[in-house]
Amino acid sequence: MNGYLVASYAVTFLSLGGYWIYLIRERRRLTPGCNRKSG
Amino acid sequence: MILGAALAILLVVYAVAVINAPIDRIQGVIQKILYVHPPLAYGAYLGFIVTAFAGATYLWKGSENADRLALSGAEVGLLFCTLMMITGPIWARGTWGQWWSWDPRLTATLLLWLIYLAYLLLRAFGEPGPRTARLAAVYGIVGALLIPINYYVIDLFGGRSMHPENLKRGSLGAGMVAPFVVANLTLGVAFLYLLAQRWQLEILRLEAAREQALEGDQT
Repeated sequence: MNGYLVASYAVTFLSLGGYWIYLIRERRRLTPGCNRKSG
Repeated sequence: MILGAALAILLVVYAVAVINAPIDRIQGVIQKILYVHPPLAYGAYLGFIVTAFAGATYLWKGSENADRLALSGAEVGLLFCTLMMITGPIWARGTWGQWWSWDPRLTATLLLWLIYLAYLLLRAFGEPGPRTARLAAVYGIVGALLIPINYYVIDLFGGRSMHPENLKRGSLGAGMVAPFVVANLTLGVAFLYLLAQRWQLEILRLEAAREQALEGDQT
């Protein structure tokens, strides 16, 4: 397995995943009464 | 919800497709960065196009939701652009031993990145209100003009570029087209999903600000 290849995919998907988590947390902060299942 | 479910399925399909994609005879396994780098570029372009169209809608109809979509498009687009500018040099280093060169495509992409970084700084530090929104809308429309220049710059320079030429029919080797299509579909849906989430967040922020302003007026 090539280190450059792993690094590219890791950076991409960790960043996109981290951004997604940030968006969910911000939305939950602004809607404290929201049903988490539908959030 | 549907977009999230589609994305979850696509991510599995994407992983299988990339793992099973054939290994390039010349570059070796590092060539599989093909299945992440160009899709990120298309996501960046899409984000900046959304910013331009949403900004134009704001100028035309004065819709605050359109303005918020413009901001969301720029942010998600800049994220994709940043990741494209990270994966590209990684690929270059692994293939040609060089992280960066001031070739036309790389330079134009850096310029595109700086333009949209400036857009977000304008939105963050400009005085909230219609004046900043109008200025940002015009800026976003003008900035999008760089997209076709960025895409065709290699052709404009007669193919004299370290960066490979744009993909054309027959560019990809046997067995590489399907994983490339899956990659673009997956990251395209990821872009739309993140854009939708970001836009919803922006609308929530707008509503929270309105409520706060209302409470301020009442006291």
